[in-house]
Amino acid sequence: MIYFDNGATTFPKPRGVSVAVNNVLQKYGANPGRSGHNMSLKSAEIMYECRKNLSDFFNASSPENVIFTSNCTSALNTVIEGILKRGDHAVISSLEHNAVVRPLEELKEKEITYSVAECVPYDDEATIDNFRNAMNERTRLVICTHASNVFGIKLPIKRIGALCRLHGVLFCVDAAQTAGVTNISLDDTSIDYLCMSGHKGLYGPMGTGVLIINSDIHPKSLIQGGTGSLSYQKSQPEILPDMYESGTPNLPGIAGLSEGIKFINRCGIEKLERYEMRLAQMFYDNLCKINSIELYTQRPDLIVSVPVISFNIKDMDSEDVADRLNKFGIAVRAGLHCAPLAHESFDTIDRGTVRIVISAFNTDSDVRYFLSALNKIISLKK
Amino acid sequence: MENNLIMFNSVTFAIRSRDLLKNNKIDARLIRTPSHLRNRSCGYSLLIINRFDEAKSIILNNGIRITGVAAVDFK
Repeated sequence: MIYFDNGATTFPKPRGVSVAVNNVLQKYGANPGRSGHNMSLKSAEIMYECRKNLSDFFNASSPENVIFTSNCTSALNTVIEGILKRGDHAVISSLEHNAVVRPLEELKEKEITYSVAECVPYDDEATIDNFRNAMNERTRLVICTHASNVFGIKLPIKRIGALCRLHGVLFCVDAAQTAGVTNISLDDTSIDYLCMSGHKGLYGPMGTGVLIINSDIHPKSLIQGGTGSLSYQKSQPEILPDMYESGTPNLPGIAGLSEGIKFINRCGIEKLERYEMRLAQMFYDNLCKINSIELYTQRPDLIVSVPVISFNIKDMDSEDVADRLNKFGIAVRAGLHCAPLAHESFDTIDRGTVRIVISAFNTDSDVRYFLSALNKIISLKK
Repeated sequence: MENNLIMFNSVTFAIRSRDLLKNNKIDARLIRTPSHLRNRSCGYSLLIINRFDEAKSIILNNGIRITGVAAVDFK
């Protein structure tokens, strides 16, 4: 299969990832941080190594600020539900995923409200103005995607972070589509909470997610239970990362994630980003030449976007296009991509879009094959 | 008997401390905190044979919380 559904999860994974997962299952499958026997200590070392790799990769203040979650959604829920209290207000962008919108909708029961700041593509000034205008005296948290999971457009997170600092508001970034794809450094941004998937641009297995806490204000933990630490104490430990990691962790996934990060480090993130962007531009330039193709963004480039392209074929439903591509052995995702707000912004809410997301494992010939299949689908439609 | 054990309440702190000490060329062995000391720290400890005071100071200077020190007969 020619796989361009890397925005949902990357496939394939680097070989080292499956080897690491397998090693844990076959050699080191003890519960980390619970016991003193050699296998448990080895498991704890594997978990710590991944924490350290993530901490170094994102320039976090220390490894214990790296929290393992089951996916980006659970990291975002921890921040949203753990920070906001009755009467608080939040601001989100108009490109947010349901992982942000739905928890906020749920919190309306607690009189927690939110406003949507319209992202104006390619006009950072206007976007910043919209964030500023959406804040009020009750605003406690701004949650913003780093790049749209549908259209690939990057938001000006450094400037939004600076705005948050100025107003004493906490800032949470959803890096589901950017972690491992483009450089993020916590030491030169005002991000308080960085949430990400482990299984997308970081090439880990599914079932891995990460929350990096870059603030002295720690969200309330949503799950309480055994952590292997302070066991005599009935209340949840308040030390990081234990506070958020009750229950047995996904060690095979975490071991695989560690290898995913090593893979990116070996290749070089800037090199991978340039490679993937070149393929995205190849896609875009060729799609522009086809009359019946509708595109929604400017030509992607490293400054304003990540390698994600959304398109439609005139008078065809996006899901229908994806089905036909599937018959050619091509995997893409169509529809609303769990981001109805983004589709409302781009006026694609009625039919959705077909989304192409590039990974390190796509090639020029994948793009050529895709374009040839697409041309066949269009000619058969006529 | 002189102190040779530094105790932590989490394995993450213990491993991070061990790595810090390794960078400073101080050997430290990660172990489960011995049972008779567990009321003070149910977690993990570092067994340090040489340069104990220096090791403790490196750990504390890096902002890592310890739960105590002890002298143990460890073979």
